[in-house]
Amino acid sequence: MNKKAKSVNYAKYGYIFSIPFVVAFSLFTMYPLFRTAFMSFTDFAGVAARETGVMNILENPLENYTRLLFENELFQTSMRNTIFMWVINFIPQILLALLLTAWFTSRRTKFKGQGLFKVLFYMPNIITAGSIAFLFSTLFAHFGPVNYLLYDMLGVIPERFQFNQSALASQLIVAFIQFWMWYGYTMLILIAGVLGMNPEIFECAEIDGANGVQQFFYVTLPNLKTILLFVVVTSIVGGLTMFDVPRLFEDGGPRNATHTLSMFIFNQAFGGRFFLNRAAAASMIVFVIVAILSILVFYLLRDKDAAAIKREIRARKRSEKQLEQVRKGVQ
Amino acid sequence: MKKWLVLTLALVAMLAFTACGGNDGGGAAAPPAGGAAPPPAGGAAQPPAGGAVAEVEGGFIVDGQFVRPTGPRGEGVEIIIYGWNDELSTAMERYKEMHPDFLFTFRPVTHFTDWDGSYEIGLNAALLAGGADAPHVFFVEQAFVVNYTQYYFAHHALPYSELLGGDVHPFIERAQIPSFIVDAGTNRQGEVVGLGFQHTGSGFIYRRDLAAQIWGDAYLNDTALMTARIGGGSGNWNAFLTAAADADAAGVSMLSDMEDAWQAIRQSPNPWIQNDRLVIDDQRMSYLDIGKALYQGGFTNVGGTWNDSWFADMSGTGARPVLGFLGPAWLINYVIAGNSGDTYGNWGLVAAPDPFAWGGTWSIVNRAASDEVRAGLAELIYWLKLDTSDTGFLYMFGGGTLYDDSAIDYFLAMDMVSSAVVQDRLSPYLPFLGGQNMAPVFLEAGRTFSSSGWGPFDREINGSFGDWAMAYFRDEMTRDEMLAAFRQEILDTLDIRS
Repeated sequence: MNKKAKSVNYAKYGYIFSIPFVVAFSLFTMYPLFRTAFMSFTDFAGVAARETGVMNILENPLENYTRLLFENELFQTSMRNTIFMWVINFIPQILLALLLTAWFTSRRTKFKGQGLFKVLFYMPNIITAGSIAFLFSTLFAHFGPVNYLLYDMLGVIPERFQFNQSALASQLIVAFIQFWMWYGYTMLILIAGVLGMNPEIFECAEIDGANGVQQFFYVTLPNLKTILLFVVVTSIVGGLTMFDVPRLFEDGGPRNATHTLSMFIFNQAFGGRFFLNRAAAASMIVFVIVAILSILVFYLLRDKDAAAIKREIRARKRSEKQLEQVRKGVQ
Repeated sequence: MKKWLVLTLALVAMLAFTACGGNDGGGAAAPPAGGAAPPPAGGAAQPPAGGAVAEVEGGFIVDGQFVRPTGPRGEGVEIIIYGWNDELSTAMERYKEMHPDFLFTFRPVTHFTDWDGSYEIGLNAALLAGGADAPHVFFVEQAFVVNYTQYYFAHHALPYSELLGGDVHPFIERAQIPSFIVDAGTNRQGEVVGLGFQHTGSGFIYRRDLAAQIWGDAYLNDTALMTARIGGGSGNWNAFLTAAADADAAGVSMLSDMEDAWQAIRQSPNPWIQNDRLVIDDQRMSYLDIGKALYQGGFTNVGGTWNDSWFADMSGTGARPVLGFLGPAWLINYVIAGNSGDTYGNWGLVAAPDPFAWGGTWSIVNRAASDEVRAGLAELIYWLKLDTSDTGFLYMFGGGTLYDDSAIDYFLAMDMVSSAVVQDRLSPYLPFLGGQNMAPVFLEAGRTFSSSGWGPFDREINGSFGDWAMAYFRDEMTRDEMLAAFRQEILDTLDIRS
């Protein structure tokens, strides 16, 4: 009897179905990635380079990197700004999103009009960044509504504050815009994560006498780990590539206070003298930073129990192997 | 099967890595290598073949005269127009209406955002990409005109002499176009590749009623008094600052924003970059003193420019009344007049302490344009830039008669045109200026101003210096710290050392 006839190999369909993805991924992700990496070691700069496509590897291939990391103050400033504005927007963002998640998913207190609130909280995320940046630059203009309120109406500041000339104020406004735009999105993801949990574990916790706070910290949060991992990693990627809001709000000013890494890359590549090689090197540095931070987050938020079980299984296999070898040796 | 599929996928991936690695720029001529070096010499003048040009044997210019072809022409030929506004593309449509036999069609690509350089980025990308969608004619303004006429993209610019089939200098001389406009549109080989249509020589546009309030009623009508008061044409800003202090004492701000002052002072005859080095010349350095006095004296409303606060200052409804603005005729026509509200008619015009020019639209024809397209553009460029007749664009535009009455709102005052010959035939006695003729002040500014200080990256460098100067004005940095930070930023962004 022919053995092969009994089993059908479905694996080939998997390969066939994956072709469109592989092609698109190769063309639009892998190719640009490798080309960017290569470009970062070359002299590819200027209009001539862009028109001829000619690039030569530099005598010191790491020159673009060393210049960026050790000589280019604007790059360093951009990195500091980006990290600062991401941190101060992400921490309150995740905290507020968690708080709202706890409220909206609470089994004890049922809020009325939840749908409306969710829509309202999510709303800033669907408005274009350009509109929001323009809105905030108008709000915080020298003769804008905020100064009108604080100075003209309430008189709580001695003179109109020049938000657009204050580095810290501008950074805080950009961070606030990011926070305001994204907490609703984060909240929805977290709510989806909570709703996907088995309700029995909450019932068990209730029967065991856990109150709302205890349920959140000891049941909800531990089970949200994978969702949190997704939120943190996507936020790192989004935060370190922050571009539209700071560019449209004050074009990176005042005095580069809101100049971000992506703006640096964009301006190097498409403005001034078209330093595509430096832009590529800066991109690769951002890529490495994002990768390292993501790996770190993966490590910190890993499922420790599952990891322990895996370790145990590996240890057991190793000991079984050793036993086997010992047995063979005895024989 | 499995192996075959894996092999195919690997091959596809490999091709993806290698296939696009070739020449990105197509067959465009190579520009100069990096740095601010001039572009290579353009190719020898090739009279465009075919189309309307061939009908007049090698060009529109025959025996020193421009010959406009007759009969139906340009059917099925599309001209792609790049601009940051629709001013000239609309004018070109008007030309079509005026010349029914001109059958070319237009595809305007208009980027209405120019404040952050995004128009330039879009234009550069289109020029570099080339092909069927590349611009045939594009417009550039003062902040970056020389990038396209003398530096990085100059090799894309077709000399007007090639376009029109003969020397254009006699036409420029006939029109009496000021040298600052011609020089900026001339490439390193001395060929004119672009011309502006506006006269952008600038002055101090001020409120007569406020001047009278500060210095007495004689200032209501006597512009000579005002010229002397602010040191108009004197070459220094001391009188201007003294006047600013007087205005401040009367509760009036001299200017709306610091940028208004910087706009004028930065127009030095020396470029920022000289021999590949960043040079801060005396005039630009003087902004640190003038600006500090203006800022710390509270002589401006510091509300920024091109925003609600700036516009409010034009109608006297801002934080404090503002005495005036530094700018050209287009600033009156397109901006101040429309925002002046009840102050319309109370304004006057005098020379600024230093002559300067602001703005302007240079039209550049892409060398890659086909002969058929060039034929259409030759007509248009001549009409827009060099035609001094009563049916030429300059006369009709300057006189506000280009469009019918329904479009008259487009011209709230009047604009100044590049040709002095045409301008002489117009009488820009503006109701906005209380009946004052604006031409003498602006023409004199244009006559004495030199655009030799315009260079590559002016937008970036001017913006950076103005930005860092604010840190000095606000006492956040010492002068040396501010200058060091500015120089470092130019080094970081443009790789240009001091």
